[in-house]
Amino acid sequence: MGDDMSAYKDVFLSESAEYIQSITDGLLALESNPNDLEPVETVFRGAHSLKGMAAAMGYTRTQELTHKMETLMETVRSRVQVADHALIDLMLRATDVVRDVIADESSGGDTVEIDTTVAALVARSELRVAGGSSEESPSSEVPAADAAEGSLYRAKVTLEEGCVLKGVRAYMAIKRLAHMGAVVETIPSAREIEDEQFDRSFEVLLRTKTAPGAVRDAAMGVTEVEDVIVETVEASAVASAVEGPLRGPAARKSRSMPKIAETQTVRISIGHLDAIVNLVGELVIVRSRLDRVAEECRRADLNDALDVLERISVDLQQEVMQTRMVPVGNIFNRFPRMVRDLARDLGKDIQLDMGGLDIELDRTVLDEIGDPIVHLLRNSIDHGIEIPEERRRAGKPERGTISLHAEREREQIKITVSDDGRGLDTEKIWDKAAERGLVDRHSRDSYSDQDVLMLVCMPGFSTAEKATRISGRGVGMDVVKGKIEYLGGTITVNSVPGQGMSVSLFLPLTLAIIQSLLVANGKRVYALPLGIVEEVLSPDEVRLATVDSRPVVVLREGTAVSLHRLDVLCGTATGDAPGPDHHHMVLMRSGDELRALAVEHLIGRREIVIKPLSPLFRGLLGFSGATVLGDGGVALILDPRTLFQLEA
Amino acid sequence: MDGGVGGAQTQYVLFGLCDEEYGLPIARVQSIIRYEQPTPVPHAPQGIEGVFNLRGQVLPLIDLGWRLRGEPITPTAASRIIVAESAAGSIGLAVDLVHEVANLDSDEIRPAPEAAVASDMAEAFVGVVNYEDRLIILLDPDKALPKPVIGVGGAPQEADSDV
Repeated sequence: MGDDMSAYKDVFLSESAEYIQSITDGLLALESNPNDLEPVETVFRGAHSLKGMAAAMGYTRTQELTHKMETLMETVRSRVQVADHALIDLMLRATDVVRDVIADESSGGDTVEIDTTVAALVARSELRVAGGSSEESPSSEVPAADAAEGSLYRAKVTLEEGCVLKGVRAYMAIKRLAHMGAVVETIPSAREIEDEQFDRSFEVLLRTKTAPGAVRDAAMGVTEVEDVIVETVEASAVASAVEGPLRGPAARKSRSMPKIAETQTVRISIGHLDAIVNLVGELVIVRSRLDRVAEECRRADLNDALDVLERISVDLQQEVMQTRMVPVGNIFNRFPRMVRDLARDLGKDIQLDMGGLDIELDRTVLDEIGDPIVHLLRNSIDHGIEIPEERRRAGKPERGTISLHAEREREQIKITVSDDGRGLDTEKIWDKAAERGLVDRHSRDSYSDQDVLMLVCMPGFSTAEKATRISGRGVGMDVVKGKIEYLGGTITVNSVPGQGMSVSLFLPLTLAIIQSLLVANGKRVYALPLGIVEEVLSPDEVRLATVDSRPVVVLREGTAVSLHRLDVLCGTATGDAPGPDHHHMVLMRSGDELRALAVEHLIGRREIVIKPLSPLFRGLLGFSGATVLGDGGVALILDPRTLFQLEA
Repeated sequence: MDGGVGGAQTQYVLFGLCDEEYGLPIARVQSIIRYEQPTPVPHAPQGIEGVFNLRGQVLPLIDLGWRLRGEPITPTAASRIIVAESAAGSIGLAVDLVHEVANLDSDEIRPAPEAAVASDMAEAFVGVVNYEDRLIILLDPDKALPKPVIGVGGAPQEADSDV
């Protein structure tokens, strides 16, 4: 396969993933409302487009499978069959096989077999088809959904003899047509037309509400177009119109062109974006370096230029961060299928409501929250929602509802997973926490119900004792909480017994750049996320004492917080280091606790670019990343979650 | 890169650790920079000297002398950091000095004498080759360079969160 084909392959792989997703979405929508023709159309078109693309790539198995899926959907589309659960199941399974077979064929493999699935699809297609012929199921009526979008026309455009810029003229004609409606297909494919691989004429299948005469006039308006013939096509003919030339793997006759009129967006590989973010990060670093030079030089013109540079780099940084923002829908869209499958496995009837899919989050944050959300959903499916009978007895609708919503709250994103299941029993949680030694059984009065609910997020609360297939293979709530805190977020748990529970995750919009407090011991510089710093005390403001022979700092209002020395935690303490009475105290939140961290020097508040540590440091306690300082040196970023575990 | 069939030449970066000379396929080398003192990372796994800044990226620095021979290098003006591609992404390898880039014939590579190599790193050595009357020990980058540890400090296993 030449470079050319491998370039196509990347496009094919990313586009096919989108089609598979839209087919899945369509099937799930269809399942919840079998009479809605719109999702039928989505699924049908998805399968059809995949088929065309697979044919172009010479992926014969993908082509055959998607063809059979298309055929089956055609029977639904023409109302010969009803989309019942069995049909949806079959189509979803087939979609899974499509994904596998695409992976297989695109890597040159030959292991995924499609015969069983094809046979099942064919068998189902033949079911209840009046008149028998299964493959191209007849359909003479135009479905309602089509009528709403206008009719389908075939426009045959012929260019003048001797036309020099065939590709350009054709492109302009297609673009004009695309303005009037949706271009379903071109023959030959858009790419071939672009490459001028046609004689003098080409065909455009167009779905539009515009009258045929106006369609013709639009295309005729393009220079060097000699003639345009517009004829009406029946909907079912879309498939057969491109059927013939698609057979051979070499035939690259049809490529759908969904987005010819939308050239405003560009696909960029994530690697490029990351590289740009890194470069901008470096720019910020160099700028602060220049600032230091300028301080020494004291030249007005240098300072002016630096002011401008500062403004530009701030703007650039914002723009770049903006390009990394991805709608949460990108990860939410895989959840409906997961919820459906798990619910059916457990014999539960659950509907998933999702909202705020267009809310955007930094890609890094988004990548990290997928697993925690999966975990919360599984908890709700497994432990929250009751089986239908139990729900009926409790006077609730048999179908349980889980909702997953994203919304923006000031500088944070709030993601809430809630269900209308049995809720959490605070007393049961209390007993279990006491049993596990997490709380003192007799201190119940000092905990609010809210505090007790948060106990489920403590390490050691959940155990493998009741591991089920669903939530057992996941992680505990403590890991969910840890992950969210690592991302600079917080988590809250609410519940009304018998009526359900909700967990809200509050996440920062961006991750890569944070405000920090730089501190130092000797020459070593460390960064503390500013968000967790409560207060900074100078040595003369500090009263030291010991409680239970452990050092504490006594605060103004008399409370004592435990004292930890950064040099001890980092293993750099030396005998002649000044005692803690010469240290600055940083009061910081670590989990739910306030602690005092003794540091030798305070450097100040800085905006820093977070650089991840190499995977070689996996499992390292105390540090969550690193950053590059203005002088090119590296400072480690302290991780408040694990820093104090270093003391043990 | 692939040396191909017999007689094909592969480019190696030749470098020294103490009085021995080693070769690493150039395909895995991204750049070579002057040695700089890294920022130590407290409680880091043994053999990782710390982290350093390479054009804005923070990379771990491995003392290759310690890793291959059990003897840390002594930084001098000739010391270098070889930035290489490993299973754990880009990493820096501290070496005593870098000699040159050499074209070595794959036919000339002979197995390393077993007694000559420390047993626990033995499989890191592909073989030896004579180059301009010097003995070069060739490294298999996948075995000679560290890999990320799996499963340490990760998520508690199989914890249920029934509530």
